[in-house]
Amino acid sequence: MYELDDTITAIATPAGVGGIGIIRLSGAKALDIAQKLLPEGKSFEKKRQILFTPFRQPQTGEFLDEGLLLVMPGPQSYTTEDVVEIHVHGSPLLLEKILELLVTLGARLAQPGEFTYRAFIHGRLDLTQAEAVEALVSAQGDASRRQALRQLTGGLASHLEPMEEFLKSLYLKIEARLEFSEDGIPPLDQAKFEQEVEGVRGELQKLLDSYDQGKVLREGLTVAFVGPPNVGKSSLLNTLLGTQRAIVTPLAGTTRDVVEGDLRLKGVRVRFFDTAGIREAENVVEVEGIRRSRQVMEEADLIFWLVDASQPNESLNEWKSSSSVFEDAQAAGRVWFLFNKLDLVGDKEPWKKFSQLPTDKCLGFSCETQEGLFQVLKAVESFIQTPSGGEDVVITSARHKQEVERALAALTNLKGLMKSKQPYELWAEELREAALAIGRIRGRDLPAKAFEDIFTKFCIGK
Amino acid sequence: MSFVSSSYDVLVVGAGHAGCEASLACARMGLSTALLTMNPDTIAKMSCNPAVGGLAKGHLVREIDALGGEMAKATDATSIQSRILNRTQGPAVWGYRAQCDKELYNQRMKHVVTHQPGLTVRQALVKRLVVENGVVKGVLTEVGEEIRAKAVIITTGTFLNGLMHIGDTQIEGGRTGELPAKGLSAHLIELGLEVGRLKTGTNPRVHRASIDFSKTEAQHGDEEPLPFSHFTTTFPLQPQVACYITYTNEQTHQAIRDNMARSPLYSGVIKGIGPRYCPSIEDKIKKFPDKDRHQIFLEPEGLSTHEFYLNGLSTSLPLDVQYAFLHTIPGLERAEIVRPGYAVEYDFVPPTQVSHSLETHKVKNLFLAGQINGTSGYEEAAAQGLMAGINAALAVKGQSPLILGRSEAYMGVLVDDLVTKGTDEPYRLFTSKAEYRLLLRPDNADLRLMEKGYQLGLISQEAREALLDKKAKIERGLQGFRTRVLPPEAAPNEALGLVAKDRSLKLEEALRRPSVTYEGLKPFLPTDLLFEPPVAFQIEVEIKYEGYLNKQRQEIQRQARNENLPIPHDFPYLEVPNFSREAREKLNRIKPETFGQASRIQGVSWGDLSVLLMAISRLSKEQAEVLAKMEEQD
Repeated sequence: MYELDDTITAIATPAGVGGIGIIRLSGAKALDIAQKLLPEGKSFEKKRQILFTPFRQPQTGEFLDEGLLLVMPGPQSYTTEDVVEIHVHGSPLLLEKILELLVTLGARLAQPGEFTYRAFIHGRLDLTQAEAVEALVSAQGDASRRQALRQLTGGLASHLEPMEEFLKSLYLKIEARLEFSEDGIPPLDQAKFEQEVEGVRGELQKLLDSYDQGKVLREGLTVAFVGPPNVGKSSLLNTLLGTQRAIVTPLAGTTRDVVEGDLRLKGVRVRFFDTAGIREAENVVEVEGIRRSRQVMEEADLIFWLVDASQPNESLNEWKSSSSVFEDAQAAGRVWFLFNKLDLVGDKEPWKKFSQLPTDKCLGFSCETQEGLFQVLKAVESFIQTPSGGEDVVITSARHKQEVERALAALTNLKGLMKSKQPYELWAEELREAALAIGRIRGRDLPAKAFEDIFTKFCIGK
Repeated sequence: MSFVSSSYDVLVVGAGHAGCEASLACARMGLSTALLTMNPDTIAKMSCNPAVGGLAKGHLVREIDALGGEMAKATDATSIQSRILNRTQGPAVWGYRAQCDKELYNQRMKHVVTHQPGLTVRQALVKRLVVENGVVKGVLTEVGEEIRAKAVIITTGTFLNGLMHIGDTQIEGGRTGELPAKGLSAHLIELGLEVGRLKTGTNPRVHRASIDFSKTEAQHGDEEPLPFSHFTTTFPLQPQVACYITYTNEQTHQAIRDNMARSPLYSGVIKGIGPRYCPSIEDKIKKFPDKDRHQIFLEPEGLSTHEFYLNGLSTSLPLDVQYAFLHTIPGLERAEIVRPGYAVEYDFVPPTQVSHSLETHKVKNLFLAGQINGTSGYEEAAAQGLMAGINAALAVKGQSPLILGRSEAYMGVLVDDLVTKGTDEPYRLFTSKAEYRLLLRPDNADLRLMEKGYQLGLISQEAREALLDKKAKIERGLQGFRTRVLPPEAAPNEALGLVAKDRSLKLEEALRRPSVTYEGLKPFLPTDLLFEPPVAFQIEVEIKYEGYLNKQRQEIQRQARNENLPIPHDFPYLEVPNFSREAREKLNRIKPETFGQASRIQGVSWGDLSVLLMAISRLSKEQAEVLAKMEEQD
């Protein structure tokens, strides 16, 4: 049920891509939390106002978006509490990301109708509008529930249902032994039980990890262009984007900074980073540029190592002496070797001369003639199809993540209880908590009938 | 022709476990009360097995006692075997359980009710109620006597149109050897109440001398048994005896399978729904065909009777089949049946028709308690009887009812489940139905409820002073454990699992370790932290479970606003637009008293709840003012 003492947040605009997206915060900490999204040194007073401002990730300083901040201190607000609205571009990924950030900053995800509930409880409800609002709220509640269910297509729903059922069956095993200790139910096989708990715990952990793996779906894919100077990294970027983003000159070492451009592939945002040529740098600016290149390489989902097909040895020598960061990436299958300037050579598969190159990760193209560019895009796309190396169950929403974390924490507690031989009544608390959390992802409470399953699973009653 | 014979403040119809508690509560709260029974010799009969308590039920009995009821005292006085179930699984799931001498129990309770000042026990079979302008004014008996009262509590158990089945033999009656109460349910329907039908079963009783105990395992009570009642000082009072365990086998199952068609349960004769937690033996064999044996408890029904109750063999099979399958069971090969097992069907009033005070929505000052509300079990009946008695008395006095929350007592969980969710089988309480199980422990029933009992006049001044003293000691003890450090002599200590560097631990931190108990620390504690066992127990549980308990307390706090947000009783659900059809129908029927209760009704969605909230606000400005006040108090 609704709580009142904390700060709640929710995306206020309809699900899906829209021109603008609004996130609303209400509660005692609303202003403080919003403050943290502003760039360092920027602050606002506690008065009714609208600010145009960049929003940033407070820990990393990462730029999120630019937009409006509407400050409405209580009691002159919808809920009579301090309310803040964040208006940004309407990308679901961006909104979800900001929402998640607000939760880590101390807000709680609101339940359907909860803003209205607060408005009512605080006596602020505009009675003349009540009729309209109540129709809207009830419609919206149902629509968003359906929306939530639709989100759970395929993998996640079919993964969660058996998990919830299994947690419930573990819970019932304990309850049956508590409630019907006289009914001749055989004692619990604790070793097996611990194994079963460990099994679900592992699955939950995997699910939680998938949240990070699901980053591609949520935040998009990053592709870094790396390689020695003048192999055509900036040219490839410009060709792919069809613009003149990077400064391109035939002089080696022109691109001193990380240059970014993005496009949409299969509905996912793909960001390309053109890095400074990796080579022994002499001047300071270039040293900084190289440092940043390495950082991008470390964070990129995909690395395109560019090779000049007309001088492959020179390009590849540099690859051999490159960093461990690169080796790790290669081991993870995140590195592709792209041979540029194919128009200048006769051999259309020049990588075959280098036995150490994985042929399935090599492509040839020419920025001049545009040949092979389609295959390059295909390579990026293929990575989107399997964002997490074949793992098909992915959680993408902050709310789901929160519940999985709760379930996982409960099972971790349970593990401790089992180890220190604590009584069953505590085990039951943790199992119930875990089953409830997973049930909430599926949009349902542990049904009142759950306990009654005991009667079909155990022969009970004197 | 009828005549008005006399008038009372409160009439209680039916003298079972609910009726006794109800009438005692009213009389003890100072109201003139009459307890009407078909037979003053069958007061507080144990119709099923002569045992009180068990999981959740034992919790209820402790609560009844803390609130000033009688069941715990009667059980302690007549207990012939006493055990605590689940003793190793934590204090919240301890199941106090006692085997009673059924004759002594019935005599004891009869003595208490007949000697209670202000309470008259009278023989009467009630046919109709006297209702004027929607308010009950008394009852009309089968001999034309009209007895007037300001409130009436109906506690008729299984007697309303009771029909017993043994095979295809049907006998009208509420309990073996006794008449049914006919006419009253038809009258309740006339008054606009809906009536349903339930079924329950009993087990055969056999003669002690016909049992070969050498083929069974004896099961003894606890060596140091604990009494139910907070007020029992000497315990046990009766000689303690054993129960015995035996098992069915394939032959037993075959004998039953061969005759399944002759069971009225399967021939379609019995229409009422039976309890799944108390299935008949024929049900168990049908539903769990792979189970090769079922456990049977042989329970003595008393010290002087020779009857043994065969717990686990509830049946309505014909008598010849009962004999046939009994004789396949080790120890029962020559068993002589004293009373056959039988099923009984009876009318009940689906409990969504009463409010939390147990007063009917339809008729003012008419209260229902016990099996008529669809429950089973002596304890569930007694708990409702006590609550109905208290609330009828408060109604007569013009005071607001006592409603216990789900976070306060199992009695609250029981009543809220009944009036909010209803039931379609005989309802039994389980500890897992309580959201806050770790807080609602049998050991702290007094701390939770006794003050309320005192305020009602059901708990003595003396008991209340003892309670206050106990609370103060617990507080002092907790304070000591939270602020003081482990005495250096206590560590290292192998038995306690403490090492030398644990010397800097606070006492509470040491006690929180699984290897450390209050008893273990006792030799090292300063004298002002030495307490009698009940106080020490509270300190120990509070500290060891602190994390869990605080989490549940916080949850209760969070829910408090919803639980305290009232909905007007006459709320016009049918006129408010935007409810879903299911929600509208259920809300209108159940008439939730608070927003919290509305949220627990199945089929009422978030959207419906939002609509409800806003409609309340529109309807009642007064309501908004109440809310504003609640706001200020926070």
